[in-house]
Amino acid sequence: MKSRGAVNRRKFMLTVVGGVAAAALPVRKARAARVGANDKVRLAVIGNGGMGSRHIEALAVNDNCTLVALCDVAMSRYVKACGKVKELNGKEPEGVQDFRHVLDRKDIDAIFVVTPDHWHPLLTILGCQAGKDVYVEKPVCPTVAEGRAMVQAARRYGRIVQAGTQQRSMPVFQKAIDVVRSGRLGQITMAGAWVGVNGWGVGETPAPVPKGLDWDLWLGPAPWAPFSMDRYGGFMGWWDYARGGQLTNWGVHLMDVVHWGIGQDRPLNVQALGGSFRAAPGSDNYECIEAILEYKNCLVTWEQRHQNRHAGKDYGITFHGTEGALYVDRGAFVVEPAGAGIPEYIGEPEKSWANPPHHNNFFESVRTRKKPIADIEQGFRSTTAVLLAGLALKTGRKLYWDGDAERFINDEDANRYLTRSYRAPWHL
Amino acid sequence: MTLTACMMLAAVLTGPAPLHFERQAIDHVTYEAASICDVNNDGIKDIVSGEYWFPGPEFKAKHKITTIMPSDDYYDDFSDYPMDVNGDGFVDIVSGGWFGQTLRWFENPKGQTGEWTVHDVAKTGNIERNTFCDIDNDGVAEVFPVTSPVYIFKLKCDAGGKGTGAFDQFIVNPKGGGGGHGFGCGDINSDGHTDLIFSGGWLESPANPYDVENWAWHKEFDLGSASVPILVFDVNKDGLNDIIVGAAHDYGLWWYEQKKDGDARTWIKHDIDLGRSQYHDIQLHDIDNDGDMELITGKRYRAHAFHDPGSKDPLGVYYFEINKGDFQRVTIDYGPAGQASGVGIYFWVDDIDQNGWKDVLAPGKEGLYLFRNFGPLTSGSK
Amino acid sequence: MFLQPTWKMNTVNIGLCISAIVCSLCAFASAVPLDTLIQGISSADPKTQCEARQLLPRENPIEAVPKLLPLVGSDNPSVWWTALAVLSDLANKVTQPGYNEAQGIVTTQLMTLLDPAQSNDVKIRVLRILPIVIPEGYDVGPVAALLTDADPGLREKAREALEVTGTLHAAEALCNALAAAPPDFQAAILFALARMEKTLCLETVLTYTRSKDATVRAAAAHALAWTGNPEYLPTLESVWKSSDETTAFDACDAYLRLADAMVVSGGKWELAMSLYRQVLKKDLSLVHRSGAIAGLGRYGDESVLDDIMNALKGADARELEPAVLAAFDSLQGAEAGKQLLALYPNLPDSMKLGMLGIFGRKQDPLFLDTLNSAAKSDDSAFRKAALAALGDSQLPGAVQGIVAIGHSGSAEDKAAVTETLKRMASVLRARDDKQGAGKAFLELYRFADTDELRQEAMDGIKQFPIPEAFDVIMQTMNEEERANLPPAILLGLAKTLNDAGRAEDGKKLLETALTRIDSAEALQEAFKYLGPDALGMAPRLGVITAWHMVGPFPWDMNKAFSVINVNEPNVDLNASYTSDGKTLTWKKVSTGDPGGLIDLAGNLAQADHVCGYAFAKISVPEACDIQVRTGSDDGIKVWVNRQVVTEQNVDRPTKMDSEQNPAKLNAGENSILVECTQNAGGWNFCLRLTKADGAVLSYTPVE
Repeated sequence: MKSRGAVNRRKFMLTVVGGVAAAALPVRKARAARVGANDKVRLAVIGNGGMGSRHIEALAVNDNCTLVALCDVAMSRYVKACGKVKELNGKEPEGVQDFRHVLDRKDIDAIFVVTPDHWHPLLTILGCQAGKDVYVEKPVCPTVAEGRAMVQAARRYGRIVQAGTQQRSMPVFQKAIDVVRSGRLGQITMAGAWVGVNGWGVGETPAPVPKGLDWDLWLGPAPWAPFSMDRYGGFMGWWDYARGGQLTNWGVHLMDVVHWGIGQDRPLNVQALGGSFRAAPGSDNYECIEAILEYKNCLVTWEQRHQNRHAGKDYGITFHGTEGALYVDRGAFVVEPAGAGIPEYIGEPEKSWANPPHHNNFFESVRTRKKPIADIEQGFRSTTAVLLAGLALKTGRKLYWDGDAERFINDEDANRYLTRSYRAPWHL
Repeated sequence: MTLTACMMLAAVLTGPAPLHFERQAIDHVTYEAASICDVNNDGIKDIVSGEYWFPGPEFKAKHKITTIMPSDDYYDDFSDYPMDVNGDGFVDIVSGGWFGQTLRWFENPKGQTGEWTVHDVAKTGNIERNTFCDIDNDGVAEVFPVTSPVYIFKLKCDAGGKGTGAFDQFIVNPKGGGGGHGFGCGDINSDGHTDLIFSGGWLESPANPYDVENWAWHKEFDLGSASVPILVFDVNKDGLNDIIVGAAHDYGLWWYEQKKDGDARTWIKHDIDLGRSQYHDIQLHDIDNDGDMELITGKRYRAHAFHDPGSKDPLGVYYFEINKGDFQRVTIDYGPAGQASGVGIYFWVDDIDQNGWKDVLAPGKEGLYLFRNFGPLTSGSK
Repeated sequence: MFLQPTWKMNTVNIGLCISAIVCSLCAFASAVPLDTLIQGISSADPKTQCEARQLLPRENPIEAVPKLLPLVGSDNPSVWWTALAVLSDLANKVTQPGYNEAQGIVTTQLMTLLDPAQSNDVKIRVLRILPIVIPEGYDVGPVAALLTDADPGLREKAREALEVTGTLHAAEALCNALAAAPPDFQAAILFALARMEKTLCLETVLTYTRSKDATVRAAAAHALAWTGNPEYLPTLESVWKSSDETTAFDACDAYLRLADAMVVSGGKWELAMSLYRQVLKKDLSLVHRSGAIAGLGRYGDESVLDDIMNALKGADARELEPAVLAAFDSLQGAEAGKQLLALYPNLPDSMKLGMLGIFGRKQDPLFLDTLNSAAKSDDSAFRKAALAALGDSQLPGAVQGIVAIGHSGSAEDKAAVTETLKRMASVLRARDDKQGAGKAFLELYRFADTDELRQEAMDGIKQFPIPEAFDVIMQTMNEEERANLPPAILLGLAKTLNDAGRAEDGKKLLETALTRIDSAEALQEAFKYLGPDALGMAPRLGVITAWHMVGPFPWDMNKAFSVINVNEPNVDLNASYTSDGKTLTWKKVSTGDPGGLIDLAGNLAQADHVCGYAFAKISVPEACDIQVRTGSDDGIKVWVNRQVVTEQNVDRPTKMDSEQNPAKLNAGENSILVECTQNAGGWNFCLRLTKADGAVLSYTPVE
């Protein structure tokens, strides 16, 4: 496999406190051909870990696409994933460690970004700059400013960018939202979402970098830190890589449905309390969270607890209207009171993780250039809502949000959290 | 890959280089009229719009003038014309609107902060927009509030030429004429007297404009729901004054070429711009200092809520270079409300920062914006 | 360029401030002493550590921060992580509005961890917290000093920290560090300045556009683009001309960013359009030309169409199509729409399909003919694209085209049509477009091939009945099916037919509907569909709404109905009675409630422990067995033709059909007398008549 253009690496001394990473390769010279109405979309999947392999398995058996390349900073992961694809459809894709070799290729139309959160924005933007369309997993960004930069990149280069909020393509949610917006529940005055807790590891033990892992590339724009399995294997617990833990991991999915149901996409203000109380002081991202977001004519709550169960559901979304309430998760939706005459609807949770209809919606958009059902602007807004809850936790106060200017009102210091610095040589 | 780029803009564009404006959002007030004048006589020009004035040169502070009646998303303020009505050396503001049906002026408290006294001049009927024109060439503009009946309000001045705070009121009273949407003044027949132009024709001025019985009505054209003002200007430089008019509540901007065959006067309609709508206010200024007048105009956003044709089209502020009957549109601003500006019902052009280039103050329901003019972009400046 | 720091702290000030602020922050003191909590962070017991972590942020930051600082250097990660977490909370506390003095003090305290004597680990740790607490105006010297540290890792951390700090001093410090920095670090600083968007740096940044290093030049260009200042164009040009393969993209990208910024800042529209056109005309990368096209579409007017169409004449036209379609999708304005429509016939098929979608999304009737005609195409790809477009248009006039596709016969088409109709109907319903929604639901009904879908469509027809739907119901349903339709649907249709001038049909439907209302729920549903007409129809629906009434008379529950007040059941409407010193006579009252709820408190008197009487006469053509259905607050006794049919001595709220009791009516006139008792609170009742089988009974009121 040969890349186009000169590879221009410059190495710096790596010290105990870290070094500056290699300079960026010359990228974005690729020319993505137009995907015709009957063509298969040629894909590369960047990030072949837990969620990545789910996508890969679904895409390998989807006739609308071809898996051309699989990319991961850990060689073992892409090797395993390539093997799995060969098992599933007989066509082994190429395995690549450095995503820049993927972006350079003329024979790839689109990329899936399934890396830890801190890479989502830059990979999306670099993908757009390489002339590719992008499917980016949620949360789409760790900070608001990066999310806005992603939307700008999609628009500036005229690319299709789909956010991985696949519940938009799931019938159980589509039907539930139909009920919510039909008015049969009356006016929706409160909505909420809840989820249980992922136990994040506490503390870290630095270790030598495993063979085959490009740790510097894994870190990418995040601040330099020595390798530890705690970081690498548990990125969701660390502020450097994910800004919220379960709040952003599941929160985006669930808040996205709330937005969809109440027909709004930006809160007026947010306040939150949280903590990790189990053992030791806990990691950056809390286990237990109660957040309240105020929207126009509606309050929205986020509840993250151990053993969290409502209406028989371990996670879900609820809408409370003046005439009735609706509870929905990937398995079913239920309306109360029973006398409202709307029967329970049973969904298909099995395919809810890497969701073929959502993939196909993306492919359809790649062909027709119509905005996808979870366009990046929408994914960004849903991500923003939970990021703001995280910032209310971090700053310890009620924050008032200007959804148009995308800044806090009368709180310049809190506004500093809306962006983060990229480790050189990476830049937005 | 070789890289050659040639970025000399002047060479690429046909015609003069476009002017470099910088847009400043003054405030999210939504009055549809504004003006530029020195309110407090400090030598620095200020902004007046609706209920407030904004001191220059920063325009960051705002001072209340008075409370003006809102109605839906309109205000009863369709002009903010600066005129020293009471002769005290401080400029007052002449206003009035559709809903209050009253011509009024706000008395400047000699440049101090604190609200201004409102003086009602007369109940005139629904005012589409006050038009100001020095019809008797005495250096002081007369006020024309409505098109039917045709009132002339002349400021009473003392022997020294200073305003006395009162107006004389005249009704131009020919046998028929006037009325309709649209109004302008200018010398149609080149006899040295300022005539009045309406949607359905024009009133020819007698030698003395206050000889109100002797205005003659000429029903020579039908301009539809026309702009305020309708402009009188010799577009094709043939010695005959032509008419420039916009559609206030529909698509269109035209000029009507005056032709004379002996005593018979005819008008030939020419299109300037059929693709944009709500050209409510149109004005002539030399905005690029080339010695010729340009036509400055833009969209009046939500002139009739969203009922007018094209009311959901993007807003815009434009000027047209006029070259012997050929109009070339140059866009200053263009885009949807919230991102770009229109010009409201009475915008103002003046060199507010005194850098030698005329600026455009654009009020409207989309907000109050100032477009500062820095002249054409000069290459190699940085 | 040297900003004067507005923050000058010395130890004397700190002391004074502490004493001044201690009082105001006293509320944060906790029951566990501060020092105990501090020690708790280092405890071997996780629970103690947890408690310390949770309670320490409640302390006075100015007192707590100095005690935490030594823990930042601990070898035990659990200890320094916890200390940092608490410091972060305390730092956030003092950035709240109104804590300006404390913010400065805490910053000074934290800055001590940047002393040269501290280890790099400690410095890096405190750099995680400083950026969010350093106030505007504070001298960032200690952080800036690290920009020239021997350790490149530390230099980078300091740069990152200053970027996030974002104050004018931070920007100035970064600017000042440029001169001594190696090229890579210069580039990193310039990218930070690009994000910080401070005008004070621009002059300095400008000089680096002439650096010997191409990467630095590109970074500097990038750091100017956000201004949207067209005066930088020649500079960007020279950076571009002198860029190499590594930096070409960034250099050209600066143009697109500058053009975008020019439009957004306003007043430079022509210049920005010209810039996009320049990028488009030059032999540049596909990505940049695509970006130029996208920009023209996003911000331009109809005048950009020529340039875009010219770009499509080149060899890589196919590869530019995505950007062209994006541009056409963004273009707004009626004039642009007209010109796009005119372009359509001459576009290649590959673009036409995308254009159909664009036309649909413009939601303008201008495009309806083109869409409807594409809906009839022989090519299934066109039909599919037209279908999606018609659905997206949300125009009621699009239903016709959608239906045309359905008639083409393919099963896949039909399924897609059904989905589209459903979505359209849903959207039109949400917009309360009665005609549009009614039509969409009607068509959906015609296409439905499952009971569930038919029911959904019928629900929609019920909500938005239109005359056309009547025929559907009559044609597609047999007698039995029609008989099973909910009466509310029939009533709604009857009303619509009347409104549409089809009185005969409306009347027939009404009669059918009336026979079908057999419960309180059905009656109340019917009221919804009858709207304001419901009240006038009370006699048709068996509801009594007009009474003669008299009262109040004293009453209490123990006596039930035993006290005779008006000679019941033989009442004389001309009689007068004395009660409590007042003379009471019968008076006419009526209610505006179509369910017949009549208020005695309002009509007679608001009083407790009283009763009142109501009397009405009705006429029916034939003798019949009926039910008398009542609800009351509180108790009720009913006589029909002087026979007692109902007696309820209770205290309860009113609910329609609380009880139903049989009675007999004579042909011609009949009388109904009601005694209604009141304990306290609300005092009202409702009464309606049904046939023996529960269907509504029509009567004629008698004066």
